Amino acid sequence: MSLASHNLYENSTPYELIEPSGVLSTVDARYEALSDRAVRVSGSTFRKSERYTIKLEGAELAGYQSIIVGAVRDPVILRQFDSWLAGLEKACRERIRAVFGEDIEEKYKFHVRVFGKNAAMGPLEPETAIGHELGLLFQVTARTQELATALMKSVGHMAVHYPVPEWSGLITSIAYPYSPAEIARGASYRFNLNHVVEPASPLEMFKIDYETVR
Amino acid sequence: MKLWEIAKLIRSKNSGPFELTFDVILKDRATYEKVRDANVINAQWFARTYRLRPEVVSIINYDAAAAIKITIPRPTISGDIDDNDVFGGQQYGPLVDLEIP
Repeated sequence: MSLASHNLYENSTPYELIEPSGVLSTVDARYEALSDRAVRVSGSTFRKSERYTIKLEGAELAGYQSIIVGAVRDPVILRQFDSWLAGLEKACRERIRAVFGEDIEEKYKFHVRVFGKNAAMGPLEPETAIGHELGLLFQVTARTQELATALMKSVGHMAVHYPVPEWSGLITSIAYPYSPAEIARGASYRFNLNHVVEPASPLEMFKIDYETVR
Repeated sequence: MKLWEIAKLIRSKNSGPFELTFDVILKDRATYEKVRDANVINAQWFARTYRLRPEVVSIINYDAAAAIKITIPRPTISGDIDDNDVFGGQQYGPLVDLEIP
């Protein structure tokens, strides 16, 4: 049973294992325990494909990132957290446009992840209750590290003092664990290619260089 | 009864960068058959919970491992700049407390 369950891992089906030269079918596979440590597997079949295929995945540079980690503890802010954060994000975008000009819009992306609310599942999170504090992760992605860092510095200043109506005067609404608050994350990549290649020969795509080591 | 009480393992993981796959491995054969036949883990429940069309939800009852496998398209591509979970390992939360009759 534990051997059979291995077919589940990171596969969309346990019945078909697709390999370059064919498909291993486990539909009729039988798993018999011979002892506590040994298993006999029989009945799986291999269908050879007409064409030899190679899975080709590719990634591209998505941009350079800068992040800020912070925490919010004020119950007054937490009670109106969604509207406070929406206002904060809008204020940050407006500040960036004011400082860097109109044409900055297509040169960066700004995301906020909220730990303690929906950091793992994002908008799919069905749970609505929150605890006594929330963690924030601000993220800017831009074409260069210099720009990402400059934009994040702007976000950091704007966000930390973003007000709520209940308090008058300048507030410091986010606890930053670091100074400077922003952290350069470097280059970030994303998948952009998911193909099945039919090479002329099985080795065509794999260059082999031989070296003699004395 | 909640699903976690009768499962050996509930997990989620990428099956390639564009898919998310969930495995529910039950404690024993009898429990597996009960859950399988109750049909509460179905395309409609997944579509509602993960905001998808039911047609894109694949469900496989895997008798050999007393397991149910569910595969859906990833809401965001693994590692993309708005992805929250690069390995897809923490997307099974709503399944854990699913009520099994």
